[in-house]
Amino acid sequence: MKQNRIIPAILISGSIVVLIILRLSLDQWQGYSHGLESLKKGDQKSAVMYFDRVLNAHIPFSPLERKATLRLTELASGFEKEKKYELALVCYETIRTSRYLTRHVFIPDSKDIPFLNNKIASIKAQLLVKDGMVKDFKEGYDQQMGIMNKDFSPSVFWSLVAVSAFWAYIGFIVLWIFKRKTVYICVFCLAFMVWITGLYLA
Amino acid sequence: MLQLFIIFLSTFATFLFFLTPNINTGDAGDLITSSYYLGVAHPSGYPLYLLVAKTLTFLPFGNIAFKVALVSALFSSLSLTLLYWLISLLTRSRVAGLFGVVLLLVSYSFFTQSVVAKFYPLNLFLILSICAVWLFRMHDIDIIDDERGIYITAFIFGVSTANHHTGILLLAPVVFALYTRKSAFKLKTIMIAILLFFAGFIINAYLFLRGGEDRFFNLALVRDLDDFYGVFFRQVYKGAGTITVAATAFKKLSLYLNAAKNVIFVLTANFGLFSFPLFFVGIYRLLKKELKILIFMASGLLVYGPFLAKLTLSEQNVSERDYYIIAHQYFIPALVFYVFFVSIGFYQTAEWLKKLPSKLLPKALPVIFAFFPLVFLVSRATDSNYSTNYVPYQLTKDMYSVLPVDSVFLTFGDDQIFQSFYLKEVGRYREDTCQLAATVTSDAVWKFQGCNSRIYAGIFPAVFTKNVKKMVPLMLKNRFYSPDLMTKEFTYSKYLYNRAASLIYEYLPRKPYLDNQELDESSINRHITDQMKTSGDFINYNVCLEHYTDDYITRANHCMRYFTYLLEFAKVYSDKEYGKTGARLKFSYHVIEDQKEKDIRSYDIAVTKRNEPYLIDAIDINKHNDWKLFYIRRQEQEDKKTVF
Repeated sequence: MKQNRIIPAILISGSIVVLIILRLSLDQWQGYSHGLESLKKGDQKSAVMYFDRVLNAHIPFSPLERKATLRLTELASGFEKEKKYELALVCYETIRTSRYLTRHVFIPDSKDIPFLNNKIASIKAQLLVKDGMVKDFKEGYDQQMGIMNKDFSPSVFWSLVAVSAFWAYIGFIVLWIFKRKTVYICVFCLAFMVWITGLYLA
Repeated sequence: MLQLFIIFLSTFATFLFFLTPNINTGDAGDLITSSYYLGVAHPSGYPLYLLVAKTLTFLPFGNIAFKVALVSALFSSLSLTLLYWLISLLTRSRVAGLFGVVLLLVSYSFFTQSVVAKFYPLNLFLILSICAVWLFRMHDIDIIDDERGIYITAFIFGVSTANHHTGILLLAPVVFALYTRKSAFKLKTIMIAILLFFAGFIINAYLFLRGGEDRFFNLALVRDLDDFYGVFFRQVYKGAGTITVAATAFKKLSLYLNAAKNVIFVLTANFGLFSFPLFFVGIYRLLKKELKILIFMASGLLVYGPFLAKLTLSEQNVSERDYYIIAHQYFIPALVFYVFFVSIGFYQTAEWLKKLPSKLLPKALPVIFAFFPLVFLVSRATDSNYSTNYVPYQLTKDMYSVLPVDSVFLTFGDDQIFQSFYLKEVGRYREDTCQLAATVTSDAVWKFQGCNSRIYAGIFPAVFTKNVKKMVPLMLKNRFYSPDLMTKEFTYSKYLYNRAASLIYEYLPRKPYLDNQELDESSINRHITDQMKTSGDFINYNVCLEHYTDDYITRANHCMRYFTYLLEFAKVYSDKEYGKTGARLKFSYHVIEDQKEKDIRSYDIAVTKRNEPYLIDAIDINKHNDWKLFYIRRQEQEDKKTVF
C-alpha cells in the first residue's frame, strides 16, 4: 500500500523537476545564443543583458552558465582596459548579483565572490576618488568592502528547520483529522515548537 | 488516479512555459523579498504565502523570483486537478471535467495569476479544498465523513486567515452545507473544530516572531497586539482596511447593481458570451437533480461575485487601476464557481445530445467542444506570455546601473519600491546605493527598508537625520536621484527641482535650500548632458519590444519610462553637429493615471542622423506598449486620449 503511494509521488516530483529544468534550459539556450549574436554585432550592452538571463536561469553544472560567466568576465576586462569603468562595474555586478539571486541552501559558485567583491570595490573606489567623494582609494575601497562583506540574510539552517517544521505541523494536523491517532497530535505539538524556535532563530 | 496526474502535469507544464522568468510587477518584489528574508510583507503580512514561497526558494535551480512564481503555477495546477476530480465525480463524465479544466485554464485572469508571483492561486486552492469537502458530502460520496469534513474545514479556514482574507467569505456557503448536515453536530465536534481553527490561525504568530524592529527586512512592523491588529486587519489602508470595507457591505445597497454589472463584465471578459447559455443549463440541471449543491455553489458565486464586488468594485466607471488591481485579481474564486456551473451545463447538453438519432455525434461533439477553449491559448501567448517579460527586472537594473557610486535613490509607488527591494536586497545589486521609499509623492517621511542603518548610517549620515535640507550637499555632489519626474504633489517641490539625467531624474536644490551657496548651472548642465550621453551604453530599452504581455504597469509605466528616456536622449543629439536631416518630430505625450490626464509633455525634436534610430525605437516602443490593450477593461470606456 505504502509503495503504491511512494512511487507516484516520486514520479510526480521527478516530472516537476524535469519540466522546470527543461524550461530553464530553454531560457539559458535562448539567452546564450542571443548573447553571442549581440557580441557578433558589436552590441556589448545587449550581450551583457542576455548573458545575465543565462545566469539567472541557474541550473547546477550548466556549461552555458560557465560560458556566460566567462564572456561577462572577458567583457568586463575589456571595458577596464578601455577605461570604461562604469561598464566594467555593470558586468562584475551582474555576475555577483546572479549568484545571490540564485542562492538556495548555498550560493552557487560562491568561490568567485571574493574576486568579484575586490574588482567591484576597486572600481567604485576609483570612481569615488574621481568625483571627490572620498579622500583616497583606500578609504573608498574599505567603505565598499565593508558594505559587501555584510550579509543580513536569515540563517539557512534555521530557515530550513522553520519551513520543514511548518510543513510537518500542517501535515500532522491533517493526518490527525483523517487518522485520529494521538501520536499525530504529539508530533504536531513538537513540530509547532520547532517551527516557532526556527522562526525566532533564523 | 492516472487522469489526475496527467491533468496536474499538463496544466503545470503549460503554466511553466509561460511563467515569469524573473520579477514581475505589482506586489511580487515585496512578496519575494519578504519570503527570502522571512520578513513581513505589506498588510495583512501573508505569512502562509511567505512560508510556502520560502520553501521553494531552497530549490537548487532558477532565480529566487522564478522559484516564488512557481508557487502560483503549482497551486493553480492543483486547483485545476481538484476541479476536474469534482466535476468528473459529480457528473461521472470525464469529458465534462476536462471541459471545466480547459475553460478555466485559458481564462485570462486565472491564467495570468498562475504565471506570476502572487498569493491568489494559493487562496483559490484553499477555497476549492473546502468546497470539495462539502460537495462530496452533499453528493454522498464517502471520501470523507461529516465529522472529518467539519474538522478539515475549520482548519483550512484558520490557515486561510494567514493568506488572503477573502477565504473567509466561503463561510456563507459552508454554513448552508452544515445546516444540511445538522446530525453531525455534537458539542465535542464543535469544540475540536474551534481548536483546529486556532491551530490554523496560529500561523499568524509568524507576524510577531518575524515582525520586530531587529529583523533586517520588514514592510510592516509587528511589536505588540496593536501592531498585530493594524497589520492583520490592514488598518494602514484606512478606507480599504478589512473591517472598514466589510462594514460597507450593507450600506448604499443600490451599488449592488453596479457590482453585479461589473461581475458580469469580468465573467464575459474571461469566458465570452458563449458560456452564459451553458451556465443557465447548469443551473437548470442542478435545480432538477442536486438542489443542495445548487444552493451551495450559487451562494459561493454570489459571495465571491456581486458581494465581493460591492465591497471592492461597485463604481459605475471603473478606473484602469481598479481593473488592474481588483477586477483582474479578486474574482478568481468567482470564476471557478462560474466554471463549475458551465461544466454542469456542458454535461447536461451532452446528455441531451444523446437523444440524437446519430451514434457518432453524441460521442464526438462533447469531446471536440471540451477541447475547443484551448484555441484561446493563442491569445494567452500574446497577452499573458510572461516568459518574455524581462521589463520589470531590466528597468530596475538599468536605473541602478546609471547611478553614480554612493547615490541616494528615492523611489515612489509599489512597483518601483518593490522591484528595487528585490534587486538590491535579495540580489545585492549596487549595494553602494541607498534606496529610500515613499508610497506616494506627497509622503513627507521616507522609509528606509532599502537603506538599512546597520549598513549605511556611516556612509549617508545626512539621510539618517531625516531632514531633507541636510541632504542638499549630496545633491550638490550629484548623488540624489529618483525614477520619477517631480510633480506638484511632491512635498519638497518648493525646495527641490529635478532634471532628466538618463533614465532617472536628478534632484537639485532651489534657493531656499541653498543658503548662501551658488549653484553652478552651467556645470550642472554639462554634467547632466554627459550623463545622458554615456547612458546609451547602459540602457536596454529593447526589452519593451520583446515582451508579449498586456500587463498595464509594464506598458503604461515601465515602457513609457524607456520611451521618455529615448526622447530625452534624442534631444541631446539634436544639434547641428550631429547632422540635421531637416525633419522635426513634434508630439504631445499624455501621462495617464487612473484614466485622468495627469500631465502633458510636449516634444519638438530636430531629427539628426545621430538621433534618428533612437526616435524610431521610441515610436516602436510606444506602439508595442499601447496601454489600452489591457484585456480587462471596458472598450466602451475608451477615452479620447491618444498618446500622440
